[in-house]
Amino acid sequence: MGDGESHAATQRLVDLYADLRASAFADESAVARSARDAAIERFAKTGFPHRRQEAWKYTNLAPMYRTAFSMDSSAREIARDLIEPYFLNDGVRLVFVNGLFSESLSQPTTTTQGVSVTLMGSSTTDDDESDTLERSAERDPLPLAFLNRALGAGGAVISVAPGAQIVDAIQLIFVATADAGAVVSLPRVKVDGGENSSVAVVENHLGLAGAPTLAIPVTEIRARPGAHVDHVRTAELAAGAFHLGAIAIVQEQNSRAESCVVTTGGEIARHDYRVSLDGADADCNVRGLAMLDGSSHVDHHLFVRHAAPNCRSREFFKNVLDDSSRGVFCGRIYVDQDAQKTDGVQTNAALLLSDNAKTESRPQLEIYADDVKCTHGATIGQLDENAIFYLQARGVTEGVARTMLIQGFAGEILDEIRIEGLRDRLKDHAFAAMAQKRQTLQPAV
Amino acid sequence: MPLLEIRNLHASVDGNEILKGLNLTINAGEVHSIMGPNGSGKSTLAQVIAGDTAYEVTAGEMLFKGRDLLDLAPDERAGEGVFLAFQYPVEIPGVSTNYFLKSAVNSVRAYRGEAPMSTVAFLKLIREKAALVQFNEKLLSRAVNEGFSGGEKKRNEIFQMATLEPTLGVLDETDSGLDIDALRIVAQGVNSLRHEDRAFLVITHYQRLLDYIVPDFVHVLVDGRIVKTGGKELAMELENTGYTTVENGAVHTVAS
Repeated sequence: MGDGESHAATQRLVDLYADLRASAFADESAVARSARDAAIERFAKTGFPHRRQEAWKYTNLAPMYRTAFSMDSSAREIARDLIEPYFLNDGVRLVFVNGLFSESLSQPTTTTQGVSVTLMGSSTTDDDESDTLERSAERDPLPLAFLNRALGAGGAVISVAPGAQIVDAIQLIFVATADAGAVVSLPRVKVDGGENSSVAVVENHLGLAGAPTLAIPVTEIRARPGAHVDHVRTAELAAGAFHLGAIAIVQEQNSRAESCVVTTGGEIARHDYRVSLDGADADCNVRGLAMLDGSSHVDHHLFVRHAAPNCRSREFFKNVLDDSSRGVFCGRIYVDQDAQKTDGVQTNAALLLSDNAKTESRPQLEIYADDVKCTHGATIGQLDENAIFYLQARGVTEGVARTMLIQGFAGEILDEIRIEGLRDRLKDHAFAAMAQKRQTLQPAV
Repeated sequence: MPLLEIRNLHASVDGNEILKGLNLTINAGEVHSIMGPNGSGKSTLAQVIAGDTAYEVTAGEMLFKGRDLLDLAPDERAGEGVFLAFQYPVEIPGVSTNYFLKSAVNSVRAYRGEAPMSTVAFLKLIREKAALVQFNEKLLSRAVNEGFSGGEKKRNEIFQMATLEPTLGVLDETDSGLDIDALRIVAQGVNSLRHEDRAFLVITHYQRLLDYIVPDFVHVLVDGRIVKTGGKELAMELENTGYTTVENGAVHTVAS
C-alpha cells in the first residue's frame, strides 16, 4: 500500500510510454518526441501521486493502482444516439472515443470568423514563454499533467483571434466506452483567448458503464489582455471510473476567466485548478459542483495565485453527498508581495444527505502583500427539517420537499452557467438521478 | 358536521406536556380566536393541527370534516384543506416562491384527484391572489422568504393561503413583529378570504389584530387548556384585565 503500489503504477506507465514511443509515436518529429521524453522524465521523478503527499492526503488512489490500464489503439464506433442528447448547438463539436478522434460524430469545421479549432497534434509545441501549465502550476506542481504531455493523444487547440466574439460555445465530448477494457485516455486542450476576444468552451467527459476507465485530461487556458473565456467541464462518470483532471489558467491584464466543473458518478474524481493572475485588473471565477452517492469520492484542489495588483478571484464549490460518498476541498489563495488591492473570496459548502457521508475542507491563505481583502468560508449542513415541514404543510410530499431543497442548494452553482442548453440539461441530469433514487416524482410543476 | 373537532387533546414536546386536555369545535364560516399568556400552548396547538412531528399527541382526538386528522401526514392535511400561516416563516434559499407554490398547488390537486394546473393558469391565479392580498409580485421570483422583511414574510403566508384556498386557515401569531400598517394589510388579506365554507383559527397574543379580523368566538388558553370562551368583547376584557384573573378564576364558559 502507499508508496510501493504507486511506484508500481508509475513504472507501468513509464513502460507504457516506452512501448508507445516505439509504436504510436514513432513517426513524430524529433522535437515532439523530445518534448514527450522530457515530460515522462518529469513525471517519473515524482511518480504517481500517493497518500503520503500532502496534496493527496485525503484521496486514496490505491483502487486505481492495481489496474493495468492500456491505451485504446483505434477509434471505436459508438451509436450516435447515445451522445446526441449532449450536443449543444450546430457549431464546432469534436468527439473523442477513449481519447481518439471520431470523425463521424464530430463537426470540426466552422464558418465562424475569428476562431480556429484544430486537433491537438504532435506539431503543437509549448513555447516556454507562454507555457500556461508551467506558469500556473509553478508553486503547486501537477505531475499528472506531465504524464498527460508524455502520453497524450487526442484533444484540441482553440485559438481565438483578437477582438473576436464567438457566440456559439465550442464543444468537446470525451466518451469512455465499456468494451475496450481498462482504458486510460489523456486528452489535452489548449484555449488561447486573444486580446479583447470572447469565447465559451464546454468539455463533456462521459462514461458508458463498464470496465474501470482512467481519464487524465488537462486543459490550459490563456486569457490575453481584455479577453473573456467561459469554460465548463462536466465529468458525468460511469460507476467505477477514475477521473484525474487539471485545468490551468493564466490571465493577463483586464481579462476575465470563468470555469466550472460539474461531477456526477464515478469512483474517484479529482479536479486540480491552477490559476495565475499575471496581469493587473484580472477577474477569475472558478466553481464546482459534485453530486455523489454510493461510495464515490470527489476532491477539488485549487491554487489561485494573485501575481499582480487589483485582481479579483472567486472560488465557489459545493458538494451534495449521499450514502457513504466523500467530498474533499483544498483551496489555497496565494498573494504575491506586489499584488496590492487583491480581492479574493473562497467558499465551499457540503450538504450531507446521510450519516455516512463525509466531507473534508482545507482552506488556506498565503498572503505576502499588505493591502488585500481575502476571505474564506466553509459550511457543512444537512437538509433543514423546518424547511421540509414548511413545504409539507403546503401540500408538498416529503420526498419532493427534500428534492426541492437539494435542487435549491445545487442550483446556486448550476444557475451561474450561462451557456444555453447546458444548464438545463445538467439540472435535469443531476436531479433526475436523485429523484429516481428517492422514488419521488420530479416536483409537479 | 363541525369542520374541526378537537376533544381532550394532550400533546407533549421533549417529554413536557403542553396541551392538557384541550377541547375546541369550529364550524365552517366561523372565525375563532385563541389568546393566552406565553407558554400556554398556543403555537403548540397550531403546530399539532398542521402535523409537526416534533410534537407527540398522547391522548385525545382531532377530526377534520369527520376524518381523523392525527392519522394524516402534514402534506395530506394540506390536501384535506388545512393551512398553517407560520409565526416564524422559514427562509429557503435556492427555491423560488413561484416554483415551490406551483408544486404545492399541483400536489394538493393531485391529492384530490384533480389534474395539475398549467403554467399559464397558475400564473393567472397567483397574479389574481397577489392583487387580492396586496402581495408584491416581484417577490415571487425570489427564494422563499429570503431577505424578506418581517411584514413581507407574513404577507407571503397570507398570499400562499389565498392561493391554496384552504377550508381551515390557522394563523399562528401572524401579528407578531408587525407595525400597524402591515397589520392592517394582513388583516385585509384574511378578511378578503372569509367565506361561508371556510373557517379561521386566529392565534394571537395581543388584542389589536382582532379589531381588524373580528372574531365570532374568543377562547382563552391557559396552561394547555381552554378555560374561557366568549364573544369578541372577551378580547377587549382581557386587554383591560390581563390573563391572571382568568388563570386564577374558576373555569367558566359563556353559555351559548
